[in-house]
Amino acid sequence: MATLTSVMSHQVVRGAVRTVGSGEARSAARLVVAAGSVTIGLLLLAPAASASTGGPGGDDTGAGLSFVQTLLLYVGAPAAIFVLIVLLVVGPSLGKGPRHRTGAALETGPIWVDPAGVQRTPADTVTPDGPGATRRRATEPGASDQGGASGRW
Amino acid sequence: MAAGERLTERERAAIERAAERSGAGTGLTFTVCFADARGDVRAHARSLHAGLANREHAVLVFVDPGARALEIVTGSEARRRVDKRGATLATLAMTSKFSIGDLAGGVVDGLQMLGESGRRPPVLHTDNP
Repeated sequence: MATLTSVMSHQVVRGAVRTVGSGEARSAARLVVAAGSVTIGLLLLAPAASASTGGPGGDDTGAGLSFVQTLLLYVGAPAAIFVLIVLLVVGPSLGKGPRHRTGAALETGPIWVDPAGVQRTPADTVTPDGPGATRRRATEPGASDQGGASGRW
Repeated sequence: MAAGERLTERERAAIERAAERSGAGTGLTFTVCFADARGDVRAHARSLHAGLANREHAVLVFVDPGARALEIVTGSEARRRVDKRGATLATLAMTSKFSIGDLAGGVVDGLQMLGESGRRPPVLHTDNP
């Protein structure tokens, strides 16, 4: 038991020695947090303290808000929050530009995505000029045993 | 020819990645073409496929956005890996994305499904009904 305690205390001492550099920083951070919270607390209490000295029973309600201030506080602030949230939601997709409208014809020529590089016909001439071109190539060997599937949307 | 207004660079890169990945997994070549077929879409897609190099192992995904038509054409070797069933499933996945206006996303999904379907080893010792 005594051995265990001595080992543990030894570990604690070694740990304290090892963390002495960061320990200083941590205690400094603790001081800052404590000082900050005390200051904020005092600031929060200050209006109440001054109000309590305003008049008998603390019924000094102050000067009141002007029309513009009321409008800003009760209409402007919620509207600003609303607009902010809407911008956060809609904003990212606004930057991307309009999406492709499926069903709209291509204005450009054919678009090939061909990472394997198997496309032999030049991209600008793949659209057949007449039915003859299609028939000629479709009767090439290998064209008859094609498989696949079709879809419409 | 600029791919500019229909596909963004990012969409194009995503389609290329999907085609490469499916190609590496199956040993087939996957090619995507967006074009205006002007007429018989199936015949046009078949003729494009017939014009590909190494067409026996080629899978062509042909999309005609104007006609709202999609064709998947497989070569003679490729159809043993990507059979009718796999191609039809990919077609369904793609058209469901196309119908909400996501052209590139649909193609990427379809390529992934085609790659999955082709990865399945062909069963040669049983007779397919």
